[in-house]
Amino acid sequence: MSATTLAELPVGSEAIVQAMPTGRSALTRLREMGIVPGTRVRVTRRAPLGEPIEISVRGSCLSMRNHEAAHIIISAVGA
Amino acid sequence: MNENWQSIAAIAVVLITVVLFAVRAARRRKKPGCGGSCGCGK
Amino acid sequence: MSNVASDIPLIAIVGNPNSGKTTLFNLLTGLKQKVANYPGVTVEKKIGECYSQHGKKLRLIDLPGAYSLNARSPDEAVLRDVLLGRRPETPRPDRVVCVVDSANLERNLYLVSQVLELGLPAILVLNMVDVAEKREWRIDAAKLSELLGIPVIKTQAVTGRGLIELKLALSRDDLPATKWRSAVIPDGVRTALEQSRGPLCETGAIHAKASLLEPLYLLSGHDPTHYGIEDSQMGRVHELRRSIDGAFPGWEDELVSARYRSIEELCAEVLRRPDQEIETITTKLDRIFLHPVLGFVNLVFVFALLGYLIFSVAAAPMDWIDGWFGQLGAWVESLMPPGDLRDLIVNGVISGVGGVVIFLPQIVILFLFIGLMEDTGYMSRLAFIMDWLMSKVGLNGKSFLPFLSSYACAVPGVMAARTIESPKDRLVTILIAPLASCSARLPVYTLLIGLLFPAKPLTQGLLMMGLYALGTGAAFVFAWIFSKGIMKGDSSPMILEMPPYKRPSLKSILLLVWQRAKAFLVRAGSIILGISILIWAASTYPKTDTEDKSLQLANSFAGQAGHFIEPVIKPLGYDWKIGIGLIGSFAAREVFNTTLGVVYAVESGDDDNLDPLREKLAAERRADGRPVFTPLVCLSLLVFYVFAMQCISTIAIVRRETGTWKWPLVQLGYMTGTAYVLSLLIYQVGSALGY
Repeated sequence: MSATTLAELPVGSEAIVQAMPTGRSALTRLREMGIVPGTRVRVTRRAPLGEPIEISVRGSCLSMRNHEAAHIIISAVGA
Repeated sequence: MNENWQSIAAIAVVLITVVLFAVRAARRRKKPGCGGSCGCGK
Repeated sequence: MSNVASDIPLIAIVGNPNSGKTTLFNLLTGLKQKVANYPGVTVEKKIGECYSQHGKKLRLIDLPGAYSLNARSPDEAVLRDVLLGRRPETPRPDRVVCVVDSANLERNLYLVSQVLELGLPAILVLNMVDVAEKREWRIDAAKLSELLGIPVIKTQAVTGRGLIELKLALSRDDLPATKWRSAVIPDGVRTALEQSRGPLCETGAIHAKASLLEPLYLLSGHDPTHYGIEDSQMGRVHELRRSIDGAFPGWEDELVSARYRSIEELCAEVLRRPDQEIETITTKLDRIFLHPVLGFVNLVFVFALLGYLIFSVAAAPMDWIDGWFGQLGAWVESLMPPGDLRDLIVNGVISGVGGVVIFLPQIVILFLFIGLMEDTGYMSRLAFIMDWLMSKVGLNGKSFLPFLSSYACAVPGVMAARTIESPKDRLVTILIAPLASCSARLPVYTLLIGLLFPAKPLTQGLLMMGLYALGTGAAFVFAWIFSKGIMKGDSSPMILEMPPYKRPSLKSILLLVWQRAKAFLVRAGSIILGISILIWAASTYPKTDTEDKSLQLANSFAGQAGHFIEPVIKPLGYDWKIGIGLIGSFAAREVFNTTLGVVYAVESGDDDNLDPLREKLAAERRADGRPVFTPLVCLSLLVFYVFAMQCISTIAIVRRETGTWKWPLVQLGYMTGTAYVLSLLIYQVGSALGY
């Protein structure tokens, strides 16, 4: 189970958030929207050019850029 | 005779309008914001 | 609004965006609501009234939707400030109704946990229960109520389900505050916050009696507007923030995690979810709407449809309004003897105001459409599709909303750019915002397109959308140019929520359309009225002693102004009368129609007031007999209006938001310059080709 980032998670897979850098304003907002270490997320789709990506978390759908997703370290779970 | 009072009345209306606009512009300097005048609701 | 505590309780409605909070508010208050502005920001203040089950009057305030009290935008700042009682003109609410999207319970509870901590008596509303039920989510409302210690009511705002229970709960005299504590602030941080209270008080940010929570939100917030704190004091606030961050790195983020832990514990007891997520209509529809190819095709189709509707469906009511104004003019004429005042009323006011009011049906259709797209949730799909394009030109998704608002009016769009953290992105967004064809351009487009393609609504619609596309495309091109040219800076992130598709609340949308229509009419009745009078005056004075109306017009202030700029606009195909229209547009773009309406009415004198403006323009001839408004000229004018920077209000707001005259002048230069060059090209090349 290799640790990778949300930006690399393939479409359709689920993962658990392991860690996120603290003190970054954008990431704080993502945390407030439910993505904190320990949360389960799933990548629903990616836009044609690779971003933005849409993920499903805690029952809602959020979209974000790879720029942010690259900071979220996750470990994939068998779907 | 009718022409005369109409001409005066017309000029009066125009002057009043100018004054109202000037007052409005001065007030807008103090209280900034869109003022909701665009019909967009913001 | 009086600050005196009245015995009419003030109840705040709060919740996430897309929680259906506003639909609920509309349902409770109906037409008994007043929309205003919070002073100093472009945030709508909505207060309404409703009656409790016992017939007692209640005042409801619909606070802006937010994800957290850690404000990042003017909207969220207003929510925070009203709930903390920091807004002098808005009294602190007596009670709070927290509206929650049941199918999104955990995330919604985040804001709820913050709000409940403030200690106000509260009611929790589990809205959109139908969506939760479709996903087979089971929420034990009774248990939740017991754990939170406050009433919990299930509702479906769109159908009115649960409304009576809500009203009953609102009527209770003995509404409790919650006993649930979601996040314990660690001692060290708590002490630091307490210590910061003194200094914050000195900066004027809070007053001495503030609770611990105020420093918490003011120091951990990222509020770009920093309401209540003067610019000069911000240095102190930043210092305090840095010292806490230094002593306790990551304390903000840890607090967020702590809250979610409590929320998860709570939900474990009241929420049952199926193991596999049920496929809903949303996931099915999104396969089409967010499909790489189909999604985009659909987007184009949606906009083409809008364009078509604006021309075909609006046509009949527009003719009716036109006729009505014409008859009004004829009636006044029959009542009064000839003279200046009659002239002012008929050819100035009625002609001018009528020229703008006629577009009411189009405005209605536009906002109906926008309301539908927002309410169903399709709008966020639009943002998703457009985002990759925006990032390619160096904009970011946060620019989307200000840019989108600019299609209604650039002024709030420019102000909304405050939410963009990166100065570079913010500046670029402000610079290109006026390229989004604002609603004031709509009357001008319609008039000229109508001249180009009379009675062909489909072609008209397509051309209309083409103009919008032109403006949008130009905005992207210039955004790219500016991004490359101006200072390098970090791009701000874009985080967007895509709510499930839902059945739109027609009542809510109609209410919104009504509010916009009313604002439009008020503007017409006041500002446009005033401008019509002034334009009439400019076209009538100074008076020349002659029977020839054209000469009279040519010698007036307006005529002289038009002649003055004529050499400059002649290469574009315009004459001095159009010149008058262009000058007038600096006040407001739609004044172009007003101006032409007045100019041609004044010119024609007492007869033909019943002819619609379009016919008069079509019949207009130059000195050599050629028509003035040839298709080529119309096209040139249209393109001019897409690009030209007019509208003093926009210039003023850009000056205010950027703090200097440099940027408004840059805008004036690049936009009007482009307008001139393109119109020139079109006219000259077109003429050379024989059109």
